Amino acid sequence: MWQLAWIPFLEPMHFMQGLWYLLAIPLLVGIAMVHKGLRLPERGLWLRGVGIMTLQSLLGLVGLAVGLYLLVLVIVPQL
Amino acid sequence: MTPPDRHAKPQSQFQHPALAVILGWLLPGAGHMLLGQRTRGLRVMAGILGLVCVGVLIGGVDAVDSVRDKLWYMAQLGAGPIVVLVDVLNQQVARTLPQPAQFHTMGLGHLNAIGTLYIALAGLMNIVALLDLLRTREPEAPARRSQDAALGGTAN
Repeated sequence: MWQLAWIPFLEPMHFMQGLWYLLAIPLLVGIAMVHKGLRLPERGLWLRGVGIMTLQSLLGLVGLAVGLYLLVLVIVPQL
Repeated sequence: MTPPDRHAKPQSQFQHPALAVILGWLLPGAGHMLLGQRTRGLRVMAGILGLVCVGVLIGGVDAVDSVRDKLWYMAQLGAGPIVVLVDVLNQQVARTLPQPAQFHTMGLGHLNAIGTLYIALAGLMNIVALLDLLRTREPEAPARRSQDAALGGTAN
């Protein structure tokens, strides 16, 4: 019930503590918005560029996570 | 008749990049607007202010802390006075609440780290935007952006 007393912008989103990894997605969107806003011409396909860069970054993060998982928990123990 | 370059940056008569940089720090994206790049300024503003707002939403006002997270605060300062305002709210309002209420405003674990990271990245991205303002008058900048557009607008 304590979530009902959550005051946005004053208190942290404690209910997201267990789902913290999902918060990487809006972060990547924000970074892509600024990056593509600066790089693309003013009449460029900004939203398309933001979407593609977000997906690329997300896939990169997932790939890194899988690679590190395999390295630490599968490859290194076999050495 | 030569068609106009649709990728050329519209240049305003205003030619004081230093003032544009100061304005861009005070309000992210406003520097680009001052130089006549209204759309680019709005996009930068949406990105930077969006990151700051979501960061504060996730981590609360404790995501900006000039006392306990000094190094992070230095990076966050790049996003402008809005960060100072959040820090003042944190130090002057949240820290002066009665103890049970004060506990609820404290960011713990991942949420504090992620909220802090959001705003620090907003600050660093705004510094990149400010550097872009200084580069605006260089002649090769529009050509490079045209190359990006030729690549389908997906160049990183």
